Amino acid sequence: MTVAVPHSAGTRAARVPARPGGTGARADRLRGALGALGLALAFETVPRTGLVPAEHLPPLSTVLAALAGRAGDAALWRTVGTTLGGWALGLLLAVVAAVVAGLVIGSVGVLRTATASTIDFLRPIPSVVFIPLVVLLFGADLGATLFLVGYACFWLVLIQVLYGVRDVDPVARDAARSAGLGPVAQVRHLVWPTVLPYAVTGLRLAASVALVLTVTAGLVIGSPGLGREIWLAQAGADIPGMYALILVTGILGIGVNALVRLAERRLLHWHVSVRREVTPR
Amino acid sequence: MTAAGPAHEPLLRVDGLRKVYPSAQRPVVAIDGLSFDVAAGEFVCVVGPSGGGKSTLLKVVSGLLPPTDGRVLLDGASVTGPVPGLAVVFQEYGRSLYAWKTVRDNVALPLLARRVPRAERHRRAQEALAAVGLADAGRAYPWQLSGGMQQRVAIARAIVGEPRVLLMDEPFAAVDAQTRADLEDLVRAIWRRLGITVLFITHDIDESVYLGGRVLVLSRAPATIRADLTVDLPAERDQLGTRADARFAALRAEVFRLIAAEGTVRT
Amino acid sequence: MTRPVRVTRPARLVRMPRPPRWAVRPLAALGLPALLVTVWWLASAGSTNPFYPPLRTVLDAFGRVWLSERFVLDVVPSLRRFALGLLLAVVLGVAAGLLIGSSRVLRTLLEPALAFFRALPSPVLVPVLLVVVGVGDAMKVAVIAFGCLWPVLLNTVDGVRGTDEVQLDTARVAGLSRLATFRHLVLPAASPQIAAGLRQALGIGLILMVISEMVVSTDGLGHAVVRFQRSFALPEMWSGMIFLGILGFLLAKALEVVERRVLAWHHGLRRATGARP
Repeated sequence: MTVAVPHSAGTRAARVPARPGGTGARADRLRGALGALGLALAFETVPRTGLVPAEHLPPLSTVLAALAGRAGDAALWRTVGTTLGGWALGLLLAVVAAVVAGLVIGSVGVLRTATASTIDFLRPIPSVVFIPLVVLLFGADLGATLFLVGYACFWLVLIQVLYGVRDVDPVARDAARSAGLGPVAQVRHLVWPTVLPYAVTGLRLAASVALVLTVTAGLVIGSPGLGREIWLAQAGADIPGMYALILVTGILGIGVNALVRLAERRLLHWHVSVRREVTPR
Repeated sequence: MTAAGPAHEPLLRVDGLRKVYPSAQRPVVAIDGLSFDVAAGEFVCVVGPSGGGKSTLLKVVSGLLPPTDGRVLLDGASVTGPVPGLAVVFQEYGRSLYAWKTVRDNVALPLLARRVPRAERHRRAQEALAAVGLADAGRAYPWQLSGGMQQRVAIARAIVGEPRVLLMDEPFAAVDAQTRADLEDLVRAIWRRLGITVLFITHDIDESVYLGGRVLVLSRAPATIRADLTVDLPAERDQLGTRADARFAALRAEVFRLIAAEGTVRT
Repeated sequence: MTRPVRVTRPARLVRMPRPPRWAVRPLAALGLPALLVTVWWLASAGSTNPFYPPLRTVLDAFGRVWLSERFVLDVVPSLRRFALGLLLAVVLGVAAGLLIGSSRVLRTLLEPALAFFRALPSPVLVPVLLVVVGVGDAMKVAVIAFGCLWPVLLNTVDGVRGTDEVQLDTARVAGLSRLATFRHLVLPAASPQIAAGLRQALGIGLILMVISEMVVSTDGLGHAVVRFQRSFALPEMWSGMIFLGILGFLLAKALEVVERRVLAWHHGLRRATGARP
């Protein structure tokens, strides 16, 4: 069966006990490896056949050679470290600020109503808008990265935390109140556990956005990190070097995703199994 | 109004049906050598223990699932995929209706495939809705209706294309008792009015006896036909009278005994 | 005739999704923004710091800059690139997503490539496409399209994969052709997910529009604010930032309004099922 409407042949098979890790999963893994191999092969041969000029897209082997050349240099690892540092710090600041603000705003009805329109307005403003101001304020510095990352991520997490506070079960709240729990105890034992899954969702969304803006800060403002190195390689006509750095950036992106997934599983081990199995429709 | 004469070819013939789900570890035999005939105009209920391959049977008969062995014949022609002559009502009404279409457009879905002009589609969908008592609901969306009403919509969609055979897969398993009684009477009413043939799958013994002119009792998986009972109750049935009838009680006890025996025979 | 069948009416009338709460309560909605603008106005009124010009000066600049031919020179090219890029991404992303989502073979084959492009921060495309496509308009459109493609594509794939099996069986029993099944089932069923992808794409597209214009361009909004900053025309720069902010807000709102209309069924369904235990 090639390209077709999603087949329903497996419908009943779901009721049949056996299948996990069966022939299907093995074939999937095999095809995944095949796909990766094909991608690498295309990357190598397309420039060689001249379909795309090699000066625009050098073959994979050339890019890997450039990568190997840089991998021996401590500068590359410092750059990766700087990028990760900017990413992590900006994300951390945003998450802490957003969780605190979200818990306060979400718990106080008046604040919630009063801030709704302002949040609704500020949230969709792309943080790159502030680049000219940030350049004036911070120059090409870590501060610039932190501002861009922080602004964008703050709203993402804040919105999720607000959803979470709203989702607190009113019955559970009444129960907590009648059990004599004070406001702080309520936040700790009732609100926070409800909010946590939402906050983690916000974290997951913010993590990739944070990387986008860390790289952007380097590319556009020239603050230290992979973005700046990519830009310098391009400006210096070191095209294989540019692709090597982009490859590193992509791998970093995959790593960041994996890291966040891991954090998610750790933080929500009590919750995740319930939440994940019910696929949202 | 029950079985046609022996000289006639049956409308629906299930012949030596076998269905095996392949699996690396241990293939699962859901149905094994199952045969039965249904004459035109019959109302046949299939009842069997839960997890006994009833739904598999319906999927194979409707052409949604290819059999491993054996065949299904509709009017002498082999069923190898869904055909217009066979309409299906699924158990999961909430999932089988399309939430983005109005009730009327949901009902008209089978006509869409047959390139029926728009005005005609609407007219026939409206007729089918009226037949299930939902003449007013055409412009609503399915999710605005109660569960029982949603299942009526699914029934309207099944009959809109004037199928020869109506296949129903535990259609009332998910609704409350009162709604269920209403829907049972609705199905019988439609059956008598349209002269359609119904194959009704259920795990509810009372329901099978109350609805059917014939009850096929399935064995445990792998499913085979364990018994083929004729329900000699009058055609005019009602929830109170029929269920209080001594003959109804006897038939119900008979089916119950057969199914209970299944439970103890193979464990 | 048979027994009369009980006629029941729909439980509720068709309910459209409600507008957000603040829209119906103007006082609550306008209170804080009015306060913030007033504070900004008063705090900056006597400002001599060139970085923070008085709001009054900024608003003067706003009128002067954006309600003039600048609109045609900078805003129109930006919006054209953005619209074109987004349109390309949506058309390609939805088409490819439908294909990839419906074929397990294709999906598993492309999995590594999709994982890489999902994780790759799309601004790195600016230098790449600068090399491949050049400095012109095509580069910016390509950057926006390429960056917006992945959220749309990946969400479409997820949406298609989530198509309900009973609904698929229903389509088969109804005799719908493959094409009709796509049109009447797969595409609408995936549309809430596609809309989610579109929302992400809108944010990414706007970022890419601004930065591609900041980096290499002779016109456009991104270029304009950087030009003002470099020539130290700070009130104008502030006005440009405000303009971009308003644009971001309006685009997000426009998408929200369209989604509310097109996916009214989805929101209704969610409320209906959410209300049920």
